[in-house]
Amino acid sequence: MDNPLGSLKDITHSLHGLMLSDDRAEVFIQDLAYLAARAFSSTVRVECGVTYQPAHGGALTVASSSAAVVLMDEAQYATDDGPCLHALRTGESADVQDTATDARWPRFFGTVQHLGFRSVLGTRLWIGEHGAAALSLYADCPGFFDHQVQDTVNDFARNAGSALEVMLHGEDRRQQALDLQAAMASRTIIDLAVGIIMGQNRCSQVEAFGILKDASNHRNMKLRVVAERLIGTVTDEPPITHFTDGAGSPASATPPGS
Amino acid sequence: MSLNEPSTAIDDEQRRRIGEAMTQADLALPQVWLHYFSITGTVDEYEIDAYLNRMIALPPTECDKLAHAVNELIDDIPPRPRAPFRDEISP
Repeated sequence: MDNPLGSLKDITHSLHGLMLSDDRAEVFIQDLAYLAARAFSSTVRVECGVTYQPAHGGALTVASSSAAVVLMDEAQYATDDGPCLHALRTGESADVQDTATDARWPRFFGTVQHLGFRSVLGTRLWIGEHGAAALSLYADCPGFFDHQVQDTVNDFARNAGSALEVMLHGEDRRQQALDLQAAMASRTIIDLAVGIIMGQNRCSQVEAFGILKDASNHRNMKLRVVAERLIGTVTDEPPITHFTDGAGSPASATPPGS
Repeated sequence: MSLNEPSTAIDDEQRRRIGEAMTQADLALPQVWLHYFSITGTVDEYEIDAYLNRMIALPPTECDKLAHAVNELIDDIPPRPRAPFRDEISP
């Protein structure tokens, strides 16, 4: 069989295109499922599912190239086992040459065959410290995943794993920046409230902070919320944190959720 | 408060119980530091780490800010579901 995906250069090029088109990892994972399904399909119909399990717990992200994949993935989770989960947990690829004769996951194979698929390949994507991810490929004929196709899938998985790792890395960094920005805005609010208390009570910064902290504890309200209310008794204008983001434009001051 | 100043029994007790509260609530240091920083904490994450590991002392106000930050994060943890009384169950 011809290499269904063309050269490694094409894979890399397509992945780079996906990485540039949207900076959200969630979107990338979805696009990856479509890309893999398209890349491996020929006269044989191939569909793809991508599963991402973040490190430190967190919810599973699942993307599918078609509704049939959603049903097949669900069948794996229902029995808590299957080629994709096997690859995700052990790191080993799980190839199923024919769902009609393979005995490993009979309940799952029932669903797969019912939906018109006969061979399955689960492959781990290595994404470093970000957790674990796996690719599941379903083909509508038996024996599709021969050695040559598996080699291509492994190349694809290596590239896709690195690409996903970069996407997740970027997402982490953006989240860190947002968290710090929100923390700076919160500091402004609390510092302003401390200043107001200092003026009203003619006391030191440490004493003023102590008064604010006690108010927060007694009312069982967050320090920032107490500070916001105190500022609200003085002015209707929301506090502004003066700093600029990377692009040089003034960043928003109000922390999210306030 | 300097590095060499001997810590008091109160320092040790507060430090130990802050660490214990973090462990019990499964709060990671980066998360705790970020929240401590957001309520005007002034020392960095490495210093908090060193403090919790009994390598340096912190000024009392910073210790209290850290305790406050940990408590606010503990308050954010969803409470365990409570058992209902009969009249709280709708038919």
